[in-house]
Amino acid sequence: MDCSEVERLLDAYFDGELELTHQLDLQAHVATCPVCKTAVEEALDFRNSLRMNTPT
Amino acid sequence: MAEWHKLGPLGEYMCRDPVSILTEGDRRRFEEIFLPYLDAAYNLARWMIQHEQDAQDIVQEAYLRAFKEFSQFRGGDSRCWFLTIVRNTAYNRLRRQYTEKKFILYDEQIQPDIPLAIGLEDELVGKGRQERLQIALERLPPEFREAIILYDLEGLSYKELAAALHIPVGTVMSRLSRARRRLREACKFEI
Repeated sequence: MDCSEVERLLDAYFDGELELTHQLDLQAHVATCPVCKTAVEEALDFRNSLRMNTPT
Repeated sequence: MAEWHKLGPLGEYMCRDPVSILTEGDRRRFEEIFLPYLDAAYNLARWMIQHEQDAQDIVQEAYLRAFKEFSQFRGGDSRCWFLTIVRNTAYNRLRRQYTEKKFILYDEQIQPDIPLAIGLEDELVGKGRQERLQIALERLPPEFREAIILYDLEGLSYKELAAALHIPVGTVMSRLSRARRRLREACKFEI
């Protein structure tokens, strides 16, 4: 898996909607890629912000 | 609207309005199942239509439609079933508005990225995180906005979203991803 594939699948990964094989591939890539690791942290920050800051 | 059906050779007609043939027990069961979703329905309608009075009208219309179709409800996820009706009701109104005002609906098959709403960047200057997020969400094309609302705020699954929006699961995934990317950009959460 490369960085662009991680970007494409990241939301589905956090949503828990990714197949196990893709989850493992993504985790393996992120563990060795500092760029994607930062992207993961920012995506998590954004998701928390969306839930906390969107009025219902 | 009630439908009148001819019954037999003498030409009697009978009103077959589905609402009129539901029993008192049906009505109570309907209320027990669907009234708890009132807030979720209003929230979805308000985010989609962005007008409080229209959102109330949509919720009312959706409850009436759901009641009429209640005999077709076969159990299962009642929340998803009802929110789908709310979504369809809101979308019908949006379509009418777009037609009347001659707006062009966004076509995701042609445009790979969501177009930045005109004036959005200027609108976001000097705003806090919550306000930026709210404005950016309001300015998303409706099909992306509804995906965010139904998934992130109302908690539907990809599969339920696919059923509610009449799109494949793969499209749900890409639609959510693109909508969140646009929101992140608007909030300066670069990724």
